[in-house]
Amino acid sequence: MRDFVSKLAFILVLAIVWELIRLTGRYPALLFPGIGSIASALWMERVDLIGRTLFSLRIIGIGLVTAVSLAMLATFMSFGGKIFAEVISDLMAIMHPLPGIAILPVAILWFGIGVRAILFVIVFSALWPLINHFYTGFRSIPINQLEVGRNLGLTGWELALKVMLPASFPHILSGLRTGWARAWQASVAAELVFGAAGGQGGLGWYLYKKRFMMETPGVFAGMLIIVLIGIGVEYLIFAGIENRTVRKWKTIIN
Amino acid sequence: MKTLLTVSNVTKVYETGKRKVIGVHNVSFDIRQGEFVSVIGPSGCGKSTLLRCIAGFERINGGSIHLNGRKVKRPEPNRFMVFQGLDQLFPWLTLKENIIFAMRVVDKGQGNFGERAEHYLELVGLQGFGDFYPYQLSGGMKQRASIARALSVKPQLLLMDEPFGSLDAFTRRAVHEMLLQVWKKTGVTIIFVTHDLEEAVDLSDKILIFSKGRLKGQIDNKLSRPRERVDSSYRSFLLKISGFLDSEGSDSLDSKELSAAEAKLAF
Repeated sequence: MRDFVSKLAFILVLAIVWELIRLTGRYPALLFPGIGSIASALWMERVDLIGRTLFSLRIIGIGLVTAVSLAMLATFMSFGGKIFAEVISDLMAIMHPLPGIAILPVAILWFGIGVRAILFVIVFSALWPLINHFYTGFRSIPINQLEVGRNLGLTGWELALKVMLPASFPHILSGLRTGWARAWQASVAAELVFGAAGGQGGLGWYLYKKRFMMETPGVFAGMLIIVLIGIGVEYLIFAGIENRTVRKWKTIIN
Repeated sequence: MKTLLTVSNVTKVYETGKRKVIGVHNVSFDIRQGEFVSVIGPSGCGKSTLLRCIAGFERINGGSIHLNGRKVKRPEPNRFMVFQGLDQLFPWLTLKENIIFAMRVVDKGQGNFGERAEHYLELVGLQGFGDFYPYQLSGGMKQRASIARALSVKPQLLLMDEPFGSLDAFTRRAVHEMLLQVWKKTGVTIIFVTHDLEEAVDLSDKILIFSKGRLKGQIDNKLSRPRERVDSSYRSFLLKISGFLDSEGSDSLDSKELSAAEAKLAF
């Protein structure tokens, strides 16, 4: 509760500073809208905003589930065979430094303008950091725990699911956090760059439209939603998982 | 008592880069059902490597290991290891869940796992701690719990790799007491690796002395139990063994000489 109050106070201070800057009148309202006009844009556009948000969340959800499954598969398989581990490690070296948005041109060529191209960029953006975290997690399992599993007769998939997965959970959780953030960034960035087709689009597309029509309060309203969802997911989902797992088991510090 | 474990001419070679390091060199011995055997020697003498070979964690390069006439090829729950590390319990499970996890993997089918887990916790003196997570326990309690988990899968051979090496002297006395009682109650055969000579003399029926990857000798420990470190027979037995350990540098002692020397000891 105290945590919540202090965070609320922090947001309040930010809002006051924002308003004070606006009140100096040094910046035109078109570039620096007041909190009142942002709030009214939020209210006026609520139906559109909710629709866009749900659209974004849906494709990010699909993309993230796909990326996590692929990353898990790749990680398990790297531990199964040496050749596969080398292939994955080489792929990582090539792909990880590549910004997801940089493959957008290729995605458009392959899939055309539309949801599939955005999905491709999302999966690509989240996949490599996910593999990186999962792989690091699997490699930092206490060797004794792994050997207890082997001693019980566990091998292959069973060993991976019953021992390696929970033992590497701190890393898996931070991987999911990074993956989620990357997926969000990728979806917004992709829509900002080429918009959307057939009126189908998420929050990135919303920002794009509002900027195009110079409706600055709407741009800020869209950004606010993105931030709020980020905070919501962190506190409602990730912190919840953390409290029920690694914090409870004390496998992380703090 | 019938022979449980036969180790014959076992050799284990490690390859580190271009160099080959011999971990265990042509080692042979038998262990009888129900025996408590200690393996002692300085760090790096191959005693832990040997234990890992018996567990099946390491592939041997020569010789063979048989348990009840069956060749040891891979890790199996009939030879269960307790490690030195205090991190061998699964931190995401409570003590009881750790034990149930092990029993469930090994038994597969149904069973009254909860009740059986309680029984094993009680056996090692941890009754009432079933719902604790590993981080909530002291080092001694963690090792007790690891022993309870090991016993819960009913191994024929309990392999212990310096299990009390990370504990302080006071805690160690208590867990020694517990281990001896568990041994008596369950009748499990134990191979106990340690570099602590007194620990080996306190606990075991037989002491295998290792040096530079070779088995230097086997000494039967016929001291009556409970063993008191202040007894003169205890002191003289200890002195004899440390004598053997000291002379090992000259490599002059082989098993035969040792057992001859041992025969001269009067208890």
